[in-house]
Amino acid sequence: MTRRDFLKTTAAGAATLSLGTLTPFSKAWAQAPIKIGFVSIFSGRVAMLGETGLKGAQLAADEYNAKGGVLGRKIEIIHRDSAGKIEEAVRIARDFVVKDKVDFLMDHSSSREAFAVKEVSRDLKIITMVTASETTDQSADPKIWTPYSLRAARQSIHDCCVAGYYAAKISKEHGLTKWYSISPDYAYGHDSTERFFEFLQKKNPEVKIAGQLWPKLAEPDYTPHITKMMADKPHAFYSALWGGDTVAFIEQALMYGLFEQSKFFCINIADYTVLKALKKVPEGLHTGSRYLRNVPDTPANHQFADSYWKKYGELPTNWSWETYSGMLFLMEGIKKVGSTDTEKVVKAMKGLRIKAPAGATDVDGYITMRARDHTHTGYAIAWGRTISKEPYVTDLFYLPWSEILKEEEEYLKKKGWLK
Amino acid sequence: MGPMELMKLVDCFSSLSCLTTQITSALILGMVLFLVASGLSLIFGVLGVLNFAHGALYMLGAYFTYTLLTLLGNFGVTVILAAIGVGVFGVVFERIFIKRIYSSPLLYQLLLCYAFIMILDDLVKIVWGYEFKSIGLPDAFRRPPVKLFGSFVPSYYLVIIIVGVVVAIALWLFLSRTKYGKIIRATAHSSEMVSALGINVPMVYAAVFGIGSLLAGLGGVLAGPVRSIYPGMGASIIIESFIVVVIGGLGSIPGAFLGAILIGLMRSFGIIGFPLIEESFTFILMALVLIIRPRGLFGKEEA
Repeated sequence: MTRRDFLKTTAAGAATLSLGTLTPFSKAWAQAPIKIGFVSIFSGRVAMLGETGLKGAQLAADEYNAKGGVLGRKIEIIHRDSAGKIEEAVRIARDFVVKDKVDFLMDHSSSREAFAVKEVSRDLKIITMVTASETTDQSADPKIWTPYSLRAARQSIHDCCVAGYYAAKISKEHGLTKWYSISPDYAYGHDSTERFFEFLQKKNPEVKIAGQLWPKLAEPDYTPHITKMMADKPHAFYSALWGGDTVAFIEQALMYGLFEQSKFFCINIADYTVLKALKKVPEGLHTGSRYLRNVPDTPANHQFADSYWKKYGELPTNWSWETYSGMLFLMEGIKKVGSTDTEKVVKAMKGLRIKAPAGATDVDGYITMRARDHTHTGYAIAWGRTISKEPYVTDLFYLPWSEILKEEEEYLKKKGWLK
Repeated sequence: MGPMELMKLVDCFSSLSCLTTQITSALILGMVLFLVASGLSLIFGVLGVLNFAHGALYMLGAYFTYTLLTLLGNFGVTVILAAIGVGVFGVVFERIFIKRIYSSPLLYQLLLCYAFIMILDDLVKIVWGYEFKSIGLPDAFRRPPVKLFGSFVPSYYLVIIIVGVVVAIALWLFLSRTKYGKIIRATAHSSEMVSALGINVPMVYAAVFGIGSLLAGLGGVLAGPVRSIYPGMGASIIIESFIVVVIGGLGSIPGAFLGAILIGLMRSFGIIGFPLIEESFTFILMALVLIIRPRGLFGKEEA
């Protein structure tokens, strides 16, 4: 036997062995699987979006498969990387439907791509579960609405409403009237900041905006912005920076003692990706909850965090609970009508209420796919103050969903999106 | 908001503490930028290669720091080892790949470098993971900022500024006063002639590429603890580095130094007077230089 033959044989042997161990339940699925095409970003700066989103979706699929699948069919997820390019996301979505013959799409992209994938969904009449785009327009603007695109993700109007109410409360307590903002210079940053101040000023009219800073997305160095605020001395400031940008900003601001001078309200600190990346979580920052195992503090959510940890050795992110919820809506919709037919499943998901890890306690732990606009409500949103140890955020503040929905309705009417 | 913000700029110029804060802020931005841009400029000046993968070397510097600091715990040693590590990588990269394209059209350089940006980004993703990381400030620097003329400067930033200035002077002395510097300058001017004198030109090329890489790496090493590190982070600095090189003049180290500080000043004072368009000042400066002095502040006239 030559060396080459030896290697070949060993490799073949190893492959066979690993196949054997990989399929311990060599249960034959009687029917073709239910296929889901998952399009997201798996490379570059926001690779985390795709990686942890897919993990959340896969966890849900595995749980269903362990119970014998759905309608006796196995759930199978295939995923591809759009690298954040709009035309690439559209091409992938089309290929999934046309070539891979998937039954459903899961669009876990930024809002830019999500708007384009929505058109694929409309065009090919395929259900797309949108699980990352937080822009309100996505589901609220009647001009671009299609019944086939449903959303199981945060919505910025809900998030900002809670943020504004919370900041109003704290600002009244501490007399914080002079405000600044520092948010990334693109649609999400502007939208989030504008909505935040609308709610804040509505609830505390004393608040004045003294200055607004718009660093570009992925700005490596915030020193000019920090020294600007050091000089202008606002009482407090709001930020929609997220991910690595938040971490860099916090590390740099700490060196100047900015947080001792001005209270920091950042909507995106409380996500384990950010909390773990910080060498030491500074105390006393105000943050919204992206994902925390104790928001909501329910057995379902803790169990979700535990299963995720057991499977992947890390804690879920905001993106994991969103895709997990999206899978629940799809699967429960299919089960309800006993079919994967597009029209039937859309109808089944309309108004569907599901007990889910993300479900807020004031709505009994249920998330709902709202019939009116096919976007989900009832997920837990909280704000609180950071502490350096687990659970990292304390003095949690929730706003009842009845209040959030009232504010949302008012906003939509003002926009002319809701009659 | 315009006139009010403009008044703030005037106020700042008349206040020593504000001036100090903004100038140091400019120097911090400038020094990291200088380290990366000087390497880029040096490599272009001597080898005639536009190293688009230079940002990826900056990224490697940051990741090496991440790992070495965890392993060794000593920041000083980490800085030196990580920067040298990137330098060594540069030498290997030059010997195996770059040397093959010296006489090829520019397009080949672009393709090769672009390919390596993607390869290195993916390698980093495989080795260190897809999530962004933060090294965090070394404990020695976790202290209140230093008081200077009524303003506050973080101690770590003082270190960055000092290292930047020392490197600039050392590099300048090395190139202008030493024998090796002379050889490098001569090679940039006429490599055939240098070769005819019995000097091993390929070795000079490898050394220069190594030094240039080391400088980029050092930029990443020093910026690492205060910036967030992630696969693809090089993209954020490469454009600005090119602008610095254009402003300072292709191949000029003093030019890169001045250009980097100018960009820093533009941004740190721009944000006081014009917070909404602060980022555009970098480009306005570049446009002005290109109109008034196309070869850059210290650039040599085309022969």
